[in-house]
Amino acid sequence: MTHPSSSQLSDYLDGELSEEGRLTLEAHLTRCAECGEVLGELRRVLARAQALEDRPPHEDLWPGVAAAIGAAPGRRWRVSIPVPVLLAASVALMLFSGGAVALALKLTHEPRLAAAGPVASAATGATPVAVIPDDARGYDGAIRALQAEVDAGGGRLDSVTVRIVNEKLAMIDRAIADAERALAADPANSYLHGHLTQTRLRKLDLLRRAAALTRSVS
Amino acid sequence: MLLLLAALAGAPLQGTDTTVTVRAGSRLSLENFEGGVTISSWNRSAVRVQGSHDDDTRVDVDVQGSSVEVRGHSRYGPPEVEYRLTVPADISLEINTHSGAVQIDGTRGEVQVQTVEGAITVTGGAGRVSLQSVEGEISLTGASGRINISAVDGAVSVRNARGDLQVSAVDGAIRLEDIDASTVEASTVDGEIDFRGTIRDGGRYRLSSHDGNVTVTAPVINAAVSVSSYEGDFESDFPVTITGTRSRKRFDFILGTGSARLELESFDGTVALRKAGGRR
Amino acid sequence: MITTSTGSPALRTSDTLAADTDAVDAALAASGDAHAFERLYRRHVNRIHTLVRRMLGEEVEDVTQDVVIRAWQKLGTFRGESAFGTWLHRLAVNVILNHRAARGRWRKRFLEEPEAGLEVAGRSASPAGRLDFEAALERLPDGARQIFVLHDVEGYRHEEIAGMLGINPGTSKSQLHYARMALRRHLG
Repeated sequence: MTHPSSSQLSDYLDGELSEEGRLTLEAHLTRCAECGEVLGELRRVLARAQALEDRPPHEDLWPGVAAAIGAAPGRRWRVSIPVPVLLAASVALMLFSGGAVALALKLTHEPRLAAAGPVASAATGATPVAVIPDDARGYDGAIRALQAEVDAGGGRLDSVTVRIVNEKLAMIDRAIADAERALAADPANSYLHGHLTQTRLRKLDLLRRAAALTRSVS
Repeated sequence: MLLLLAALAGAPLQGTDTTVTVRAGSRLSLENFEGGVTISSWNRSAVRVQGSHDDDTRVDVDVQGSSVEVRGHSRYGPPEVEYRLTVPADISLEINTHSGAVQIDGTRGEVQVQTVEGAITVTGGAGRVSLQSVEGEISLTGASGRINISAVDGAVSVRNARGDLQVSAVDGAIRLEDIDASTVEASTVDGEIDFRGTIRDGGRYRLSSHDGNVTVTAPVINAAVSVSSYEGDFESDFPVTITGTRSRKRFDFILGTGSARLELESFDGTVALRKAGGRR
Repeated sequence: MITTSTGSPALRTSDTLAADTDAVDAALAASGDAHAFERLYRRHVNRIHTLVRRMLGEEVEDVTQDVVIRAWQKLGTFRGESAFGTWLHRLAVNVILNHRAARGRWRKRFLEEPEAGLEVAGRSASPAGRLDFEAALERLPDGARQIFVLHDVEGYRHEEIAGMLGINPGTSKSQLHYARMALRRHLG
């Protein structure tokens, strides 16, 4: 008994077979339970697909849209750290960690996709600025860098890995914030300087590992 | 007809059971996407690969000289195989999986394991041991040589290790027990670090945590010690005379001959020196 | 259920109402009414966001926003021949595909996919299946996943998909087949 191929079963499910092909296959199905089971599984996959539900975005995207279409004058991109300052900071870190800093830096101040329409231009004056959208969650820049790394790597991390890495990035960022606050109150403290650098390096290290993962994913 | 009966009876999964002869000192590499990997060792100069998978998947075991490659190939999607391997004790192992626990028992060769989502448990390992996971606990017992462990979301436990030890975690405690190493570097962001072992003469020990206690327990400490705890306390079972303090949150002192170097840091936790086996 | 005189079911009352509300708000929005556009947004964003997430998996919030902004810009071209939701969906698919194409990785992904499906299949009996259906969907190679989403989830036909993606209907069928065979292990 010759069985139909699985792609023929798939085509049959979609009514893509010729009349003759359909009749032959249906005749076969009356005699073959195994093919019937495979067909059943394909049917269930289709049914599952049709039953998938919509999910809302994690955050409300309307404010961004409203700004782009000129409907909400209040919300604009926040001008972030001017590039020369970012560069100066990165030189210091570079002494400890080499190229990864430059890479992360390049990615964190990549300007967001510009929306058509009257978005407030953030560049004022001669100094070029890194424009980073205003966002309550402080670790968004690091996540954006991660996503950009993923793009650059040509691969895609699955959402579980992304979620874990993002959570840990947030954790490291909280640690960085702790150290920065302490340093602000005690600027001459050499332990704090060292600790802050160490913790920032942990963040870069994690981003680097995640980037390596994207490169290894097929 | 046979197929039909088998289908009705709930046919056992397809399996692979292949044994290949290998030379001494070989290297085995295995790549899998989803499925656990369990490896144990035997006296034979052979590698046995047992895999459990569906019939759209096949497992290839390829021997070229002293290299053995184990790879699953699935017609649809990435390979999903549950592996059970038996290997010579001295073989070098390189295991790379995405999802699934990796367990290796009784190896005397080099070990390199990478998982994204899976716990790693290794007993043995010599020369070079490198264990990395993103989500999963890592546990290593009885290893020697250059040991490098990196976890992101998971605790790390190292017992009975000799050589050079480097452990890093982000969200996980680090537990080091029965350690006799001359270089130990352990750091985590959120988790305790607990070291129990020997402080060797001339050794370098650096333990740091952001959000957890750092504790060193040893019978004797002969070391130049530097302790920093920004928001936590410092406790010591050993008598401490403070020398050259830079700020009240940082202590430098010498214990005994001052031969080793100990750097202990915690931003938010207590740093403690405990005497092993004695009264507190 | 309302039936027409021929006995076949017509749209349910709520569907018709939703379509009418959309049409009204679309007309208002086309003449510059941002509040009307916001109402449309709130009714359709989940669907668009989910489509973007399944098709792209990355930069989901950004691209969803791009779709909505493009819809605002193109409102003048919505003539009401189809339901607003259908028009918006098509527009979303266009934005998504252009986003991919701009990255230059589209073609490469297709050509890389293995030719599968000529063999006879056995009943699937996967030992793993730890991934649930949606996670497994996410793990599919880009081309197979997107065609599966367009065909099985969204209901486009192979000819339409072929036209949208610039591929042969045969390629569309084989990609779909690959995706279905990979996903049957994760029915749970």
